[in-house]
Amino acid sequence: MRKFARLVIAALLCAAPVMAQDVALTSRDGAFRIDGTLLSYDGEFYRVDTIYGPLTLDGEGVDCDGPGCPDLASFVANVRFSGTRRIADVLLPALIQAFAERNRLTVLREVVDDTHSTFVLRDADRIRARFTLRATTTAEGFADLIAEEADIALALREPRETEVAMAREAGSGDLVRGRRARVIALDGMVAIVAVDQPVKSLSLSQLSGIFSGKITNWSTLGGAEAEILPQAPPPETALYEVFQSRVLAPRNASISPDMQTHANLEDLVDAVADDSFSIGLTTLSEIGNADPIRIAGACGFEQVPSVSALRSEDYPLALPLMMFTPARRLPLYARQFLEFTSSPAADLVIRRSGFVDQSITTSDFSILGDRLAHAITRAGPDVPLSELQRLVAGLRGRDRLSTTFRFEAGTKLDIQSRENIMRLARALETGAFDGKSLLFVGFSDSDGPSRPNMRLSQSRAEKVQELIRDTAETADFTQIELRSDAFGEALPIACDDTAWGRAVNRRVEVWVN
Amino acid sequence: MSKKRCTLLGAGLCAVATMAHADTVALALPAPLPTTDIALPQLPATTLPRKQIHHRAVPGWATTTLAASTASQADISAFGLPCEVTLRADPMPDALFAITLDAPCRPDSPVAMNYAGLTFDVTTSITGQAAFALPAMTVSGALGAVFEDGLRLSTPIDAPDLSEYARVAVAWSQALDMRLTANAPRHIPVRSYALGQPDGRSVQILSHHQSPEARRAVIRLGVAAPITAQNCGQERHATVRHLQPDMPPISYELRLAPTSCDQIGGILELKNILQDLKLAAKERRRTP
Repeated sequence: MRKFARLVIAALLCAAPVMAQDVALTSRDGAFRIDGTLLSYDGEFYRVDTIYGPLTLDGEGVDCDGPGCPDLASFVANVRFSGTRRIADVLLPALIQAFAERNRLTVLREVVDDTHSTFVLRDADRIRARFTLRATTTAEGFADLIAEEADIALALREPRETEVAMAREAGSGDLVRGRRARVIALDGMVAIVAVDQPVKSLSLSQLSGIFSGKITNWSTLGGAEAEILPQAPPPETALYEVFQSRVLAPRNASISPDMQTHANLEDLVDAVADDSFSIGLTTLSEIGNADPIRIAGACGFEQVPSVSALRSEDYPLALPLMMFTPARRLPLYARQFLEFTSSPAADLVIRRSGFVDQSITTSDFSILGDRLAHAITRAGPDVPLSELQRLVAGLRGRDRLSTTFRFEAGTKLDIQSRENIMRLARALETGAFDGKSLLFVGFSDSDGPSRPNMRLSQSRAEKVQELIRDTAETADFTQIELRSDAFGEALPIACDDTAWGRAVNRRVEVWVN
Repeated sequence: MSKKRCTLLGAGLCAVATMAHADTVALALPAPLPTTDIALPQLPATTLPRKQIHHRAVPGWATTTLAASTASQADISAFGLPCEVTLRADPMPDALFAITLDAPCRPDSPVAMNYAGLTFDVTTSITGQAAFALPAMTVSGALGAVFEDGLRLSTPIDAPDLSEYARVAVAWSQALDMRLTANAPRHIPVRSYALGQPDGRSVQILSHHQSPEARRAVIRLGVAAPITAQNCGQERHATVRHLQPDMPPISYELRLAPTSCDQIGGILELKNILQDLKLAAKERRRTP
């Protein structure tokens, strides 16, 4: 609400007819002159609020006059980050440190308090950049981005419709179109219990029952006769919201309001680790000394929150860690930093900080083991044995890439998959797959008759192949073979009796040889 | 809860109490120096100095000039020991080193010690010695000692067995009673070491030896200080160094904003500034 008021005030100020004209930018040939208030200077470009609205002008082409002009020789890039503590606490400081070292800059972190810091980056001569960090929630990060109090929002979820609308009203452009979001690392939502709690596997509906207050005793879940003590993160966090929307809402349930909550996730995790009858909700990167719970399905499949399952999105509660940028131009150091976050050097930092990076890894045909056994057991009229033989013939001798594509609805890719398109396309452009054959393999859930499922999985595989070909503009396709194939519902990796299980099964895998 | 309070408020006494529980460790200044039992520093073999005196003094004595005689006298300390300055590092168990600085003619002198990017101050005793236990913070490095007049000494410190240890060191730029706190599960013993002195630059180190069968664990790290009339309004500067098995070391610099003097009597506590020590499971992965 407070943020909204601020936005309204900002909008009113912008509309005010009289404003301080603190800079005058004149083109080098004197042909035009723009008066206005300097909003920012990024070392290359002026951004000026004028009677025509905010304008961006190349510093090379204009001279600046007036009290608001920046000192060009001592320009320091100021980049403000704001958002979820899941990124701000550990990952971002580690990435900034690595980015600085790579650019031969030294870093001093000026700590105001636990949630406010400034990283001062300098070379031998002078300070080059200040990265200011506000560790808060995803919602606050978006609000700061929209109010132009942050340059980069750190988020655990995509913006809500209200946030998208607010951004549009505030003139910060469309938060969901274009490359405004990038997934920098992967995390997962996990339920945790103490090491000595014997129950280590629960279905999503059991989790929903526990956190909505319907299941209250461990004995219901095959454990001891003892009351369950659930611990939840604060309601204003994205973790709470995402759990509510992905796990409870589909079951028409909501998180019980009298749940014990902890302001710090670390405190929640420590409380659970110390209490055998507690269960808590956290992220895979922050499980402390507790044990993560596996997600069980009725048909016998279990989804383990592991690095490979998060990378391939086989785990249903994946939580991509995202950065959102504004529609305006960011200073050079900010753009270089964003570029750095998707480099192999950053992948290493991400892994070492306890998160899952998105580097493309391969595993051989033998990983199919259990899944193939399951498929053979279920073979019948829908999926005849001959179809499984075709699958084995097609995939044996190839390796599966960790890159997997999943769909929100129909053929619309989810955000992690959109990032995967960029990553795989870039790998193709750098020649990483020259001389190789990439097979895009579509799979579906088993909902409905098998023939349409087969067609749908085939069209998804073709769609991904087409997207890759379009995105990898500079790749040499005479060197790389791209093909697609589909096997419909032949090889499920989760149970089809739940919506999330079906979502995990609707996928396009990439097999290479 | 009482343990937590301990980390917040405890001084030396509290630190000892929590050490016994081994799940919360508070480091405090002043702390007993060193915290582990180490052998007393070895004095140089008594025969060696005599020989040196002999070599130097005898010819001077024979040829005689007053000036030469006083000069050679100046090379002997008030306790009759030669003025030679030495710095030794003797390996001990647990990737520790017994450090002995011997400067008989420099009693009660401040010395800046530098090691692995960490700096702390010591003062020589009345006989010109300083001795302490130093936990290794790098596999291959050197300890430097610098006297106020610029005299420098250095000794190599090689700790090949360091890969089994998780350690974090915080070097404080000034004595401001800031404490490094750790919260670890019961089965994770954490030892603490304090280097330096209460009125100078100091280093606090926490160390955990990871056994080969250890399971995954997290040790939470934080810093805390009571806000007093002496430290309010002052900036604090720290260098942090992390060592974790199977990971390259990490170092970073911090500057803590001054606390307001309106908050005297309160506590400054930062829980998110130091990266927690995350220990990966050591047990061999079972083949599926």
